[in-house]
This record gives sequence, C-alpha cells and structure tokens, in this order.
Amino acid sequence: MEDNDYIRRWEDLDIDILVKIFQLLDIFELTSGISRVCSAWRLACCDPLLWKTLDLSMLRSNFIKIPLEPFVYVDGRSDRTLTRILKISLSLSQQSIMTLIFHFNLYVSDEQLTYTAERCPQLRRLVLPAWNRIKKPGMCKAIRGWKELESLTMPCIANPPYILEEISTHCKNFSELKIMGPCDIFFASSLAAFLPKLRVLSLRCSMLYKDVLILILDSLQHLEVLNISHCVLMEALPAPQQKRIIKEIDVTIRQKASRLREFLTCMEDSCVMCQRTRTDEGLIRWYKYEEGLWKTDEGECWGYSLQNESNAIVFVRCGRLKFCTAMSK
Amino acid sequence: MSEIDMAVIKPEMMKPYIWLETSDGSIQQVEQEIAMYCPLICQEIIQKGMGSSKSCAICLPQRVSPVTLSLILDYCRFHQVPGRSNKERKSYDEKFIRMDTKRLCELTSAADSLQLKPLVDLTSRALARIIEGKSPEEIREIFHLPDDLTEEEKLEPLKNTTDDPRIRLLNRLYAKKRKELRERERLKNVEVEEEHVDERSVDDLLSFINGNDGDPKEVKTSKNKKKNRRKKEQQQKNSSLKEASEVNKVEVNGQSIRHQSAEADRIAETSNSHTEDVFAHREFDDGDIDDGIDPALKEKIDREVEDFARRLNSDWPERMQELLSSGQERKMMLFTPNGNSFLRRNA
Repeated sequence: MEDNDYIRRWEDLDIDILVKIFQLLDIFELTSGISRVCSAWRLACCDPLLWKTLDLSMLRSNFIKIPLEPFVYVDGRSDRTLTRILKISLSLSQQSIMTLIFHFNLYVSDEQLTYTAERCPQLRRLVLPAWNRIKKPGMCKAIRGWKELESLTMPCIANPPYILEEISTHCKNFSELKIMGPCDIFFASSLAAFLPKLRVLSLRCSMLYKDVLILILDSLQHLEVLNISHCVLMEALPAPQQKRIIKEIDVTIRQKASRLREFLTCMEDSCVMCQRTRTDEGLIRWYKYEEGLWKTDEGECWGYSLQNESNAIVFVRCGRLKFCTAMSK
Repeated sequence: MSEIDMAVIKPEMMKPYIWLETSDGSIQQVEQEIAMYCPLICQEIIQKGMGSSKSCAICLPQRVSPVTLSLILDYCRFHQVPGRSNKERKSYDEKFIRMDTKRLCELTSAADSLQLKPLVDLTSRALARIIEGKSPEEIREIFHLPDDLTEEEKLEPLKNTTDDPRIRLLNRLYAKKRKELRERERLKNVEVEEEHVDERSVDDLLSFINGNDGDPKEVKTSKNKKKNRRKKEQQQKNSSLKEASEVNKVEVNGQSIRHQSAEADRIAETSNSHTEDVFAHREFDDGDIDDGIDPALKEKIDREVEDFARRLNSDWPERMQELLSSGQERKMMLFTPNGNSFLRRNA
C-alpha cells in the first residue's frame, strides 16, 4: 500500500517541480535518460521552459583538417551523436526553441541544419561559428525558415552577400550580428547594402582595417552598439609600406562613433586578449585557449552562458560595459 | 518579512505560537517566528488572520504530512537565525538532505506547496544529482516509476546511413605524403645546384629519396636551415602582420575556408592519382598543422592509421593495391612526431 502511495506521489509531483529538477540537468541527460523514463517525466521533458535555449556548446565534433573542401573531415560517431541529440531535443522541444548555440568546433552538416531549421520556426538567436560543411542552398533554406531571427553569430565567409541578402529578405526583425573572423571591405559593403538597419555589430578579436571601420560607421545609420574590443586595427599605406597597426583610435573614428549608444574598444598592450589577437595575426585560433572563451563578448547581448552550481547551462544577458576591462596578466 | 507586513499584524495575532493542520488532520502548535519563514503560512497569518487558535488552525496543503512538516520546520529553525555564515548554512544543508529518495521527493513536493523556494532549490539539486548519469531503467527502479512509454516514444537514436568517406581520406593522406617526398627531393636538388657539399654517400641519398630511414640528424639540420632562412626573410619585410585574407583563401580560426567552387567538389571525387597531382601544387599553411600534441598520442594515431591502411589494403582488389603501392612501400612519414600531420585536435 505504501509503495503504491509512493508511486502515486511521484506521478502527482507537480510538473513544475519536475521541470525545476530537469533544468539542472544537461542536454545529454535530457535526451538520453530522462525523456524515456515514463509518460509523466516525458510530459515534463516537453515543457517549453526547458527548451527556450538549446545550448550545444558542450558538444564538439571529433574532426581532422583536410586540404580540400569542406576542409574538415568529421568522425562518423560524433556526427551520429549530434544527429541523435538534435532528433530527440527537437522532438521534445515541440518548436519552442528560441536560442540555438552550436560549439565553435561543431561542424554541422547541411542535413542537420535543415532538419533543425524545420523544427525551430520560432528561432530568434543563432550561434553558428563554423559552417564548413554547409552549402549555400542549405544555409538559404534554413534562413527562409527562420522568419523571427533577430541575432546571428557567424564565421567570416568568402562570399557574404548571399547570406546577408537572405537575412534581409526573410528576417524582418534582424538586428544583431557577430562575425568571428576578419571583416574586410567586401563584407562591410555587403552589410551596408543588405543590412542597413543593423543595430548591434560585434567584430571583436579580429583584424580590422580603418577604412572598413569608417565604412561601417558611415553606412550603418541605425547602429547602436559596435564592439571592436581586442581588434588589430590596421591602416593601408602607399606601395612600399603597405600597412601599419593603429595603436589608438583617432579623432575621425571617435567623431563618427559618438552617435552610438555603445562603442566598445580595447587596444591595451597589457590586455591578454589583445596580445592573443596580435599573436594570431588578427585571426584568433580559439581552440588554443580556455574552453568557452570564444563565447564571451563585451556587448550587452552576447554573453551566451554561465555555469551555475549544478553545471547546467543557463542563457543570460551580460550587463552593459562601456569599455572592456583589460584582462591583465 | 517586511516592516509594512509586520505593521499590519494585529496585537492579538502577535503570539509566539500558531496552530497548523496537516494533511492527515492532526493539528500542531509551532513557533510563529519559524513558521512565518514559509511564505504560504506568512500569507495566511497576515491576510486572513488564521492560526491564532486551535479552532482556526492554518490548513496546510495536501502534500504536507506531519513528518515532512517537522523536517521543514527544522530547516526554517536553522535558516531564520540571522547571524549564521554561508559556510555554516551550506554544511547544514548538506547534512539535511542526506535522506532516502522517497522522503526527499515528499520534502520537495511539500516545500513547493509551501512556496519555500530555498528548500525547493536545495532538494531539487539533490534529486538532480541522484538522476544524473542514470539510465531510464535505473531511474525507474530508484523512484518506483512505471514503464508506460511505447517504443516510438522512447525515441531510439537514428541509424547512420551515410557512406564512410575514410577511404577517400586515406587516399588524400597518401597523396600528401608523396607530395612531401617530392618536395624534399626538389629541395635537395636545389641545394645540389647551389654547390652545397653533401658528405652522404649516393646509396644514403637514394635510400632517403625512396623514403627509407635516413639519418635523423641530417633531416633536422635541413629543417633548421629552412627555419632560419624563413626568419631572415620575415625580418626583411616591414609588415608586422601577414595579410589575413589572400585572393582566394581565408583562414578562419585555424580552418582554411575557400570560395566554394564546383572544381573543388570535382577534385574531391577524383581518383587517387588525380588527387596526387592536385596536392603537388598546394602549399600547406600553419592552419593545417597541429602543434602541441602529446607525442604519445601522435604515436598512437600513427599506429591506428598504419593498422587501418593494412586492413584496408587486405580487402581491396589487386588493381587498387597497385594504385597505392607507391605509398605503402615507403615508411609512413606523414604521421611522425615532427611531421606536418593531420591530427585529431583536442579542442
């Protein structure tokens, strides 16, 4: 009798308590064990509270670099793991995912991306820093499905217009962009052409030419926040010298940036991140540094995650910082 | 409780004890100060003036049994004392949740119904730790839960239907190895043209060209020469940084990314011999090299690749073996601790 009462109690346990418990567990626990226990737990696993953010930033591909496109070969087992986790989590989330974060070294394939896009129509925020294995049609198809997309973290790509054009056509609320890699004049002019209403732009930890920065400040009239923290700022010079590093931001740039709500800069010699950007020649190799460092950002909306006491990943918004505090040695 | 709330309390309500009725109908007297640590009880006292006598005892929610109530009151008694340090509280909490799973579940449920958030958080974390790393079967056993899901609902993982591209990858590795050998041969010829005296015998040189074990010191010396030459060339340049993006290539975070083209796709599909030609004209930059990897790990990978090559070749038809024979005869130079190898990154 007592045993039956016990079973009844557990099944009667409020769904919000179960959800509270499940919020403390990671994606692996949710997709492998919890959702397959019983119908009551399965129901709790489908609670939208658990799936507002699908954070796969602890999941990395097991890969080796190869000399031909797509320049990475991903081990079959890690591909299967990702497919399995995507399949289960997208089934449980029941289209309630609004933030999707992929690890810097998680090489998503075309099929995986389109499968995800079809099942995340509410997506507002996407962090996809590596898309070597995604072809142009796959990316376009995914963006067409994300009509609510507002924010994107993407790698520097050789042919930016197609993706930016898709975003401008299909994502009417799009306002935040973070580029992980050098932003050249071609990228900047593509931004000006297709995303003139962009409000937040982060180019941190990369090589940036002065004329590119000026073009961004001149052409993106709706820009409110620009983060160029730890960038190697360069200036193109006439023939024999070719280029030089700018040590501090000049009056022209300051003047143009004065209209911004936030202009985040850090060019300190004592700053560890600035040193790293220079060492890596404006093309920071994130895999060499602390795990999760690639996710940090000085801007108000780019602090992707914090570890809470139980190792659960929680989506948070960073507090606003006017200037980056240098990470001194 | 705020000062405003305290001001609302009537003088007759300000008694040291209040009366609480649990789910089984039993009524017990509790210190008001402790009981008011629970928001639900506090609300009942302030808003409804309940609990002042046995006849108007506060009816607690269904899930609060006398046993769980006494546990909750113990928790409140400790935590409402103001002067305690965080360390003391943490230590108490750890001891407090050392109980069987059944009681922990009941306590979570009761604390939730009394809106006692700190205790709900504490017990939830304890339950999460119990659940962590357990299979569905183990969880069912621990919590005595029914197995009432269908096979479809259990969401078995997808089968992998994609073709295994390892063979093509191995071809590429062999092609790169042959390219490196040719490159070394070319460099050696250049050095001969520059009238550098080489004290090695013709046999030694031939064995080196054919990929047999040469003198490691000699190899190291030539590498150092190359390094020094590169350093000098770099110092001569005024530019402090390399151009980040070349005409047709951008390296992003250690990954080479190029303009997508049908040509590249076509090359990827071609035979081994064709791939060899493609590799012959390509420079490998720093992005293709993985430094800082444990030599033991490198050796392990070397062995795995050799073993894989052996198994692969035993299964292939003879004509395919002939295609790769030039690569197999030589020592595996690609995967050496000093070589520029494609290695699995411990990122």
